[in-house]
Amino acid sequence: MFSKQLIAASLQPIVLTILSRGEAYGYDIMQRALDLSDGKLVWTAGTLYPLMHRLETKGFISAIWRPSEAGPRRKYYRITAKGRSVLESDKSEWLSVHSILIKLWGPELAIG
Amino acid sequence: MFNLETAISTWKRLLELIRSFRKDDIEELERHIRDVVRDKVADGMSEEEGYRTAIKQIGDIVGLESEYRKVYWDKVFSNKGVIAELTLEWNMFFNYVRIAVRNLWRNKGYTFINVFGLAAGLACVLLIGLFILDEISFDRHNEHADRIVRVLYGESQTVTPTVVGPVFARNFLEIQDWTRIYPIGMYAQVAVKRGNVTFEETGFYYADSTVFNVFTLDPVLGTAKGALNRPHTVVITETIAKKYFGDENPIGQTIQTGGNTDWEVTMVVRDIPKSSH
Repeated sequence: MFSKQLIAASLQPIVLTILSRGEAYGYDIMQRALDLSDGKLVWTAGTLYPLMHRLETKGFISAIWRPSEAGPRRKYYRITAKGRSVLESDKSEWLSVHSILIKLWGPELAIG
Repeated sequence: MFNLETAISTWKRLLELIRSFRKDDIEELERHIRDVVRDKVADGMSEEEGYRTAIKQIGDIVGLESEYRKVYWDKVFSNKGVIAELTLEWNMFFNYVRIAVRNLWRNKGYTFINVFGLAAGLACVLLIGLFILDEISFDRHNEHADRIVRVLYGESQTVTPTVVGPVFARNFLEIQDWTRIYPIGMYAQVAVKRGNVTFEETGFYYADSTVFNVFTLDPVLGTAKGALNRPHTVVITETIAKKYFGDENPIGQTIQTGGNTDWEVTMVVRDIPKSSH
Protein backbone atom coordinates (compact mmCIF):
# COMPACT_ATOMS: atom_id res chain seq x y z
CA MET A 1 0.00 0.00 0.00
CA PHE A 2 1.28 3.44 -0.91
CA SER A 3 1.59 6.28 1.53
CA LYS A 4 -1.32 8.64 1.94
CA GLN A 5 0.47 11.58 0.36
CA LEU A 6 1.51 9.63 -2.68
CA ILE A 7 -1.99 8.31 -3.16
CA ALA A 8 -3.43 11.80 -2.87
CA ALA A 9 -0.93 13.23 -5.33
CA SER A 10 -1.33 10.49 -7.91
CA LEU A 11 -5.12 10.37 -7.77
CA GLN A 12 -5.76 13.08 -10.34
CA PRO A 13 -3.39 11.84 -13.11
CA ILE A 14 -4.50 8.26 -12.65
CA VAL A 15 -8.18 9.09 -12.73
CA LEU A 16 -7.75 11.36 -15.74
CA THR A 17 -5.73 8.74 -17.59
CA ILE A 18 -8.32 6.05 -16.98
CA LEU A 19 -11.05 8.40 -18.17
CA SER A 20 -9.02 9.40 -21.23
CA ARG A 21 -9.46 5.82 -22.38
CA GLY A 22 -13.23 5.97 -22.14
CA GLU A 23 -15.99 6.92 -19.72
CA ALA A 24 -16.34 5.04 -16.48
CA TYR A 25 -18.20 5.11 -13.16
CA GLY A 26 -16.59 5.46 -9.75
CA TYR A 27 -16.37 1.84 -8.72
CA ASP A 28 -15.10 0.94 -12.18
CA ILE A 29 -12.26 3.49 -11.89
CA MET A 30 -11.35 2.19 -8.46
CA GLN A 31 -11.24 -1.42 -9.59
CA ARG A 32 -9.07 -0.59 -12.57
CA ALA A 33 -6.60 1.35 -10.44
CA LEU A 34 -6.51 -1.53 -7.98
CA ASP A 35 -5.86 -4.07 -10.76
CA LEU A 36 -3.20 -1.91 -12.40
CA SER A 37 -1.29 -1.49 -9.14
CA ASP A 38 -1.58 -5.13 -8.07
CA GLY A 39 -3.69 -4.08 -5.15
CA LYS A 40 -1.31 -1.40 -3.87
CA LEU A 41 -3.41 1.58 -4.85
CA VAL A 42 -6.16 1.43 -2.26
CA TRP A 43 -8.50 4.39 -2.44
CA THR A 44 -11.43 4.78 -0.16
CA ALA A 45 -14.67 5.83 -1.73
CA GLY A 46 -14.54 8.78 0.60
CA THR A 47 -11.43 9.98 -1.22
CA LEU A 48 -12.40 9.14 -4.77
CA TYR A 49 -15.91 10.53 -4.99
CA PRO A 50 -15.15 13.92 -3.49
CA LEU A 51 -12.18 14.14 -5.88
CA MET A 52 -14.51 13.42 -8.79
CA HIS A 53 -16.66 16.30 -7.61
CA ARG A 54 -13.66 18.56 -7.44
CA LEU A 55 -12.48 17.62 -10.92
CA GLU A 56 -15.99 18.23 -12.15
CA THR A 57 -16.08 21.67 -10.52
CA LYS A 58 -12.76 22.53 -12.12
CA GLY A 59 -14.16 21.40 -15.48
CA PHE A 60 -11.67 18.57 -16.05
CA ILE A 61 -14.37 15.94 -16.27
CA SER A 62 -18.10 15.85 -16.87
CA ALA A 63 -20.59 13.52 -15.27
CA ILE A 64 -23.87 12.09 -16.45
CA TRP A 65 -26.41 9.77 -14.86
CA ARG A 66 -27.24 6.95 -17.24
CA PRO A 67 -28.82 3.50 -16.86
CA SER A 68 -26.15 0.82 -16.94
CA GLU A 69 -26.33 -2.49 -18.80
CA ALA A 70 -27.13 -4.13 -15.48
CA GLY A 71 -30.17 -1.91 -14.95
CA PRO A 72 -29.86 0.66 -12.13
CA ARG A 73 -28.60 4.06 -13.17
CA ARG A 74 -25.00 5.00 -12.52
CA LYS A 75 -23.02 8.20 -12.63
CA TYR A 76 -20.62 8.01 -15.55
CA TYR A 77 -17.62 10.28 -15.75
CA ARG A 78 -16.02 11.53 -18.95
CA ILE A 79 -12.87 13.58 -19.51
CA THR A 80 -13.21 17.03 -21.07
CA ALA A 81 -10.85 18.86 -23.43
CA LYS A 82 -9.64 20.90 -20.51
CA GLY A 83 -9.08 17.68 -18.58
CA ARG A 84 -6.98 16.30 -21.39
CA SER A 85 -4.68 19.33 -21.47
CA VAL A 86 -4.32 19.14 -17.68
CA LEU A 87 -3.49 15.46 -18.04
CA GLU A 88 -0.75 16.31 -20.56
CA SER A 89 0.93 18.74 -18.18
CA ASP A 90 0.48 16.26 -15.30
CA LYS A 91 2.08 13.61 -17.42
CA SER A 92 5.15 15.70 -18.28
CA GLU A 93 5.59 16.64 -14.60
CA TRP A 94 5.39 13.06 -13.41
CA LEU A 95 7.71 11.86 -16.16
CA SER A 96 10.32 14.48 -15.33
CA VAL A 97 10.17 13.53 -11.65
CA HIS A 98 10.46 9.94 -12.74
CA SER A 99 13.51 10.64 -14.92
CA ILE A 100 15.20 12.53 -12.11
CA LEU A 101 14.73 9.58 -9.81
CA ILE A 102 15.98 7.17 -12.45
CA LYS A 103 19.11 9.29 -12.96
CA LEU A 104 19.70 9.48 -9.23
CA TRP A 105 19.13 5.84 -8.55
CA GLY A 106 20.52 4.39 -11.79
CA PRO A 107 24.26 4.26 -10.98
CA GLU A 108 23.68 3.07 -7.45
CA LEU A 109 21.49 0.32 -8.75
CA ALA A 110 24.25 -0.59 -11.20
CA ILE A 111 26.80 -0.70 -8.40
CA GLY A 112 24.46 -2.42 -5.96
CA MET B 1 -30.05 -12.37 10.38
CA PHE B 2 -28.28 -9.92 8.10
CA ASN B 3 -30.38 -8.22 5.49
CA LEU B 4 -28.53 -6.23 2.86
CA GLU B 5 -31.48 -3.96 2.02
CA THR B 6 -32.06 -3.07 5.66
CA ALA B 7 -28.37 -2.41 6.16
CA ILE B 8 -28.13 -0.17 3.12
CA SER B 9 -31.29 1.78 3.85
CA THR B 10 -30.21 2.32 7.46
CA TRP B 11 -26.88 3.59 6.25
CA LYS B 12 -28.60 5.86 3.73
CA ARG B 13 -30.90 7.31 6.36
CA LEU B 14 -27.84 8.29 8.34
CA LEU B 15 -26.31 10.14 5.40
CA GLU B 16 -29.56 11.84 4.49
CA LEU B 17 -29.45 13.63 7.81
CA ILE B 18 -26.22 15.37 6.84
CA ARG B 19 -26.56 18.30 4.48
CA SER B 20 -23.15 17.95 2.87
CA PHE B 21 -24.45 14.86 1.10
CA ARG B 22 -26.76 15.48 -1.77
CA LYS B 23 -29.19 12.88 -3.04
CA ASP B 24 -26.96 12.16 -6.02
CA ASP B 25 -23.93 11.60 -3.83
CA ILE B 26 -25.79 9.13 -1.67
CA GLU B 27 -27.10 7.28 -4.69
CA GLU B 28 -23.59 7.09 -6.15
CA LEU B 29 -22.22 5.72 -2.88
CA GLU B 30 -25.10 3.24 -2.69
CA ARG B 31 -24.27 1.99 -6.17
CA HIS B 32 -20.69 1.65 -5.05
CA ILE B 33 -21.65 -0.46 -2.04
CA ARG B 34 -23.87 -2.67 -4.15
CA ASP B 35 -21.07 -3.14 -6.72
CA VAL B 36 -18.62 -4.13 -4.02
CA VAL B 37 -21.09 -6.55 -2.45
CA ARG B 38 -21.87 -8.08 -5.83
CA ASP B 39 -18.16 -8.65 -6.60
CA LYS B 40 -17.40 -9.98 -3.14
CA VAL B 41 -20.31 -12.40 -3.29
CA ALA B 42 -19.04 -13.53 -6.69
CA ASP B 43 -15.69 -14.16 -4.97
CA GLY B 44 -17.44 -16.40 -2.49
CA MET B 45 -18.00 -14.03 0.42
CA SER B 46 -21.32 -13.70 2.23
CA GLU B 47 -23.46 -10.62 1.68
CA GLU B 48 -22.68 -9.45 5.20
CA GLU B 49 -18.93 -9.72 4.69
CA GLY B 50 -19.24 -7.96 1.37
CA TYR B 51 -21.23 -5.18 2.95
CA ARG B 52 -18.71 -4.76 5.76
CA THR B 53 -15.86 -4.58 3.24
CA ALA B 54 -17.70 -1.94 1.26
CA ILE B 55 -18.39 0.18 4.33
CA LYS B 56 -14.75 -0.11 5.35
CA GLN B 57 -13.69 1.06 1.91
CA ILE B 58 -15.93 4.07 2.11
CA GLY B 59 -14.42 5.07 5.41
CA ASP B 60 -16.05 6.46 8.50
CA ILE B 61 -18.89 8.91 8.11
CA VAL B 62 -17.07 11.75 9.86
CA GLY B 63 -14.18 11.63 7.40
CA LEU B 64 -16.55 11.19 4.50
CA GLU B 65 -18.62 14.12 5.63
CA SER B 66 -15.63 16.43 5.91
CA GLU B 67 -14.50 15.52 2.38
CA TYR B 68 -17.95 16.10 0.95
CA ARG B 69 -18.36 19.32 2.85
CA LYS B 70 -15.25 20.74 1.16
CA VAL B 71 -16.71 19.74 -2.18
CA TYR B 72 -20.02 21.26 -1.26
CA TRP B 73 -18.53 24.64 -0.36
CA ASP B 74 -16.23 24.57 -3.38
CA LYS B 75 -19.32 24.24 -5.51
CA VAL B 76 -21.15 26.94 -3.65
CA PHE B 77 -18.33 29.39 -4.28
CA SER B 78 -17.30 28.37 -7.78
CA ASN B 79 -20.67 28.21 -9.54
CA LYS B 80 -21.94 31.53 -8.23
CA GLY B 81 -23.98 29.36 -5.90
CA VAL B 82 -23.66 31.81 -3.06
CA ILE B 83 -26.98 33.41 -3.97
CA ALA B 84 -28.64 30.02 -4.17
CA GLU B 85 -27.16 29.10 -0.82
CA LEU B 86 -28.42 32.31 0.73
CA THR B 87 -31.84 31.79 -0.80
CA LEU B 88 -31.90 28.34 0.72
CA GLU B 89 -30.90 29.68 4.10
CA TRP B 90 -33.57 32.37 3.82
CA ASN B 91 -36.23 29.81 2.97
CA MET B 92 -35.02 27.52 5.70
CA PHE B 93 -35.30 30.38 8.15
CA PHE B 94 -39.09 30.31 7.98
CA ASN B 95 -38.95 26.57 8.34
CA TYR B 96 -36.90 26.97 11.51
CA VAL B 97 -39.39 29.47 12.84
CA ARG B 98 -42.26 27.10 12.14
CA ILE B 99 -40.49 24.23 13.86
CA ALA B 100 -39.65 26.44 16.81
CA VAL B 101 -43.27 27.46 17.19
CA ARG B 102 -44.42 23.84 16.99
CA ASN B 103 -41.97 22.81 19.65
CA LEU B 104 -43.01 25.67 21.88
CA TRP B 105 -46.62 24.66 21.43
CA ARG B 106 -45.89 21.04 22.23
CA ASN B 107 -44.12 21.83 25.52
CA LYS B 108 -46.57 24.36 26.87
CA GLY B 109 -45.39 24.06 30.45
CA TYR B 110 -41.77 24.73 29.67
CA THR B 111 -42.72 27.41 27.19
CA PHE B 112 -44.68 29.16 29.89
CA ILE B 113 -41.81 28.94 32.39
CA ASN B 114 -39.29 30.18 29.83
CA VAL B 115 -41.36 32.99 28.37
CA PHE B 116 -42.66 34.11 31.73
CA GLY B 117 -39.21 33.91 33.27
CA LEU B 118 -37.67 35.91 30.47
CA ALA B 119 -40.46 38.47 30.61
CA ALA B 120 -40.11 38.86 34.36
CA GLY B 121 -36.36 39.18 34.02
CA LEU B 122 -36.60 41.79 31.30
CA ALA B 123 -39.20 43.70 33.26
CA CYS B 124 -36.89 43.77 36.29
CA VAL B 125 -33.98 44.97 34.20
CA LEU B 126 -36.10 47.69 32.60
CA LEU B 127 -37.45 48.86 35.94
CA ILE B 128 -34.00 48.95 37.51
CA GLY B 129 -32.67 50.72 34.44
CA LEU B 130 -35.40 53.35 34.56
CA PHE B 131 -34.86 53.82 38.27
CA ILE B 132 -31.12 54.32 37.80
CA LEU B 133 -31.69 56.70 34.88
CA ASP B 134 -34.07 58.68 37.03
CA GLU B 135 -31.61 58.73 39.92
CA ILE B 136 -28.63 59.93 37.93
CA SER B 137 -30.63 62.44 35.94
CA PHE B 138 -31.35 64.47 39.11
CA ASP B 139 -30.06 68.02 39.14
CA ARG B 140 -28.18 67.43 35.89
CA HIS B 141 -29.87 70.36 34.24
CA ASN B 142 -27.65 72.69 36.23
CA GLU B 143 -24.83 74.05 34.13
CA HIS B 144 -22.33 73.51 36.95
CA ALA B 145 -23.91 70.25 38.11
CA ASP B 146 -20.54 68.51 38.39
CA ARG B 147 -19.17 71.25 40.66
CA ILE B 148 -22.10 71.85 42.96
CA VAL B 149 -21.86 70.35 46.44
CA ARG B 150 -24.41 70.35 49.15
CA VAL B 151 -23.24 70.76 52.69
CA LEU B 152 -24.95 68.56 55.23
CA TYR B 153 -24.87 68.80 58.94
CA GLY B 154 -24.26 65.76 61.11
CA GLU B 155 -25.42 62.44 59.74
CA SER B 156 -28.51 63.45 57.85
CA GLN B 157 -29.37 67.02 58.69
CA THR B 158 -29.96 68.82 55.42
CA VAL B 159 -30.15 72.18 57.13
CA THR B 160 -26.92 73.88 58.15
CA PRO B 161 -26.42 77.00 60.23
CA THR B 162 -26.40 80.12 58.07
CA VAL B 163 -22.82 80.83 58.98
CA VAL B 164 -21.50 77.73 57.21
CA GLY B 165 -21.59 79.42 53.78
CA PRO B 166 -19.48 82.51 54.48
CA VAL B 167 -17.09 80.71 56.85
CA PHE B 168 -16.44 77.91 54.42
CA ALA B 169 -15.92 80.36 51.58
CA ARG B 170 -13.37 82.21 53.67
CA ASN B 171 -11.46 79.07 54.66
CA PHE B 172 -11.53 76.95 51.52
CA LEU B 173 -9.96 78.52 48.46
CA GLU B 174 -11.56 75.90 46.25
CA ILE B 175 -15.01 77.37 46.78
CA GLN B 176 -15.68 79.64 43.83
CA ASP B 177 -19.14 80.71 44.86
CA TRP B 178 -21.75 79.68 47.34
CA THR B 179 -25.38 80.21 48.11
CA ARG B 180 -27.88 79.27 50.74
CA ILE B 181 -31.46 78.28 50.21
CA TYR B 182 -34.04 77.43 52.81
CA PRO B 183 -37.27 75.71 51.83
CA ILE B 184 -39.49 77.49 54.25
CA GLY B 185 -42.56 76.13 52.52
CA MET B 186 -41.46 72.55 53.00
CA TYR B 187 -41.99 72.62 56.76
CA ALA B 188 -45.18 74.61 56.84
CA GLN B 189 -47.24 75.72 53.91
CA VAL B 190 -46.90 79.40 53.19
CA ALA B 191 -50.07 81.32 52.62
CA VAL B 192 -49.40 83.55 49.66
CA LYS B 193 -51.86 86.27 48.89
CA ARG B 194 -52.38 88.46 45.89
CA GLY B 195 -55.14 90.88 46.36
CA ASN B 196 -57.97 88.86 47.92
CA VAL B 197 -56.87 85.49 46.63
CA THR B 198 -54.78 83.26 48.87
CA PHE B 199 -52.85 80.14 47.90
CA GLU B 200 -51.05 77.67 50.15
CA GLU B 201 -47.58 77.13 48.74
CA THR B 202 -44.99 74.48 49.62
CA GLY B 203 -42.32 75.55 47.15
CA PHE B 204 -41.44 78.80 48.87
CA TYR B 205 -37.70 79.27 49.41
CA TYR B 206 -35.48 81.81 51.06
CA ALA B 207 -32.36 82.26 48.97
CA ASP B 208 -29.16 84.29 48.71
CA SER B 209 -28.76 86.57 45.73
CA THR B 210 -25.91 84.31 44.62
CA VAL B 211 -28.37 81.50 43.92
CA PHE B 212 -28.13 82.38 40.21
CA ASN B 213 -24.35 81.88 40.20
CA VAL B 214 -24.64 78.35 41.49
CA PHE B 215 -27.87 77.01 40.00
CA THR B 216 -29.00 77.40 36.44
CA LEU B 217 -32.25 79.36 36.34
CA ASP B 218 -33.37 80.50 32.90
CA PRO B 219 -34.71 84.04 33.02
CA VAL B 220 -37.98 84.61 31.19
CA LEU B 221 -38.61 88.14 32.42
CA GLY B 222 -36.09 90.32 34.20
CA THR B 223 -32.44 89.48 34.76
CA ALA B 224 -30.64 87.52 37.44
CA LYS B 225 -28.30 90.43 38.07
CA GLY B 226 -29.57 92.16 41.17
CA ALA B 227 -32.84 90.24 41.18
CA LEU B 228 -32.52 89.34 44.85
CA ASN B 229 -30.26 92.15 45.99
CA ARG B 230 -32.94 93.88 48.05
CA PRO B 231 -34.87 92.27 50.87
CA HIS B 232 -38.49 91.38 50.17
CA THR B 233 -37.95 90.61 46.54
CA VAL B 234 -39.11 87.35 45.03
CA VAL B 235 -38.31 85.31 41.93
CA ILE B 236 -41.14 83.18 40.63
CA THR B 237 -41.50 80.51 37.97
CA GLU B 238 -43.61 80.82 34.86
CA THR B 239 -46.31 78.56 36.29
CA ILE B 240 -46.58 80.63 39.46
CA ALA B 241 -46.60 83.83 37.42
CA LYS B 242 -49.53 82.54 35.43
CA LYS B 243 -51.31 81.38 38.57
CA TYR B 244 -51.08 84.74 40.33
CA PHE B 245 -50.98 87.26 37.54
CA GLY B 246 -52.53 85.57 34.54
CA ASP B 247 -51.37 87.39 31.46
CA GLU B 248 -50.29 90.53 33.31
CA ASN B 249 -46.62 91.39 33.56
CA PRO B 250 -45.67 90.30 37.08
CA ILE B 251 -42.44 92.31 37.27
CA GLY B 252 -42.75 95.03 39.91
CA GLN B 253 -46.02 93.61 41.27
CA THR B 254 -46.30 92.37 44.83
CA ILE B 255 -47.57 89.33 46.64
CA GLN B 256 -48.11 89.03 50.37
CA THR B 257 -47.36 86.26 52.80
CA GLY B 258 -48.77 85.80 56.28
CA GLY B 259 -48.39 88.93 58.40
CA ASN B 260 -48.93 90.98 55.30
CA THR B 261 -45.30 91.07 54.27
CA ASP B 262 -44.99 92.41 50.74
CA TRP B 263 -42.78 90.70 48.23
CA GLU B 264 -41.89 92.43 45.00
CA VAL B 265 -41.55 90.19 41.96
CA THR B 266 -38.23 91.03 40.27
CA MET B 267 -37.79 88.10 37.95
CA VAL B 268 -39.64 85.23 36.32
CA VAL B 269 -37.73 82.04 35.52
CA ARG B 270 -38.53 79.03 33.44
CA ASP B 271 -40.05 76.16 35.43
CA ILE B 272 -37.49 74.08 37.24
CA PRO B 273 -37.39 70.48 35.97
CA LYS B 274 -39.06 67.84 38.11
CA SER B 275 -35.77 65.98 38.43
CA SER B 276 -34.52 68.59 40.80
CA HIS B 277 -34.16 68.91 44.56
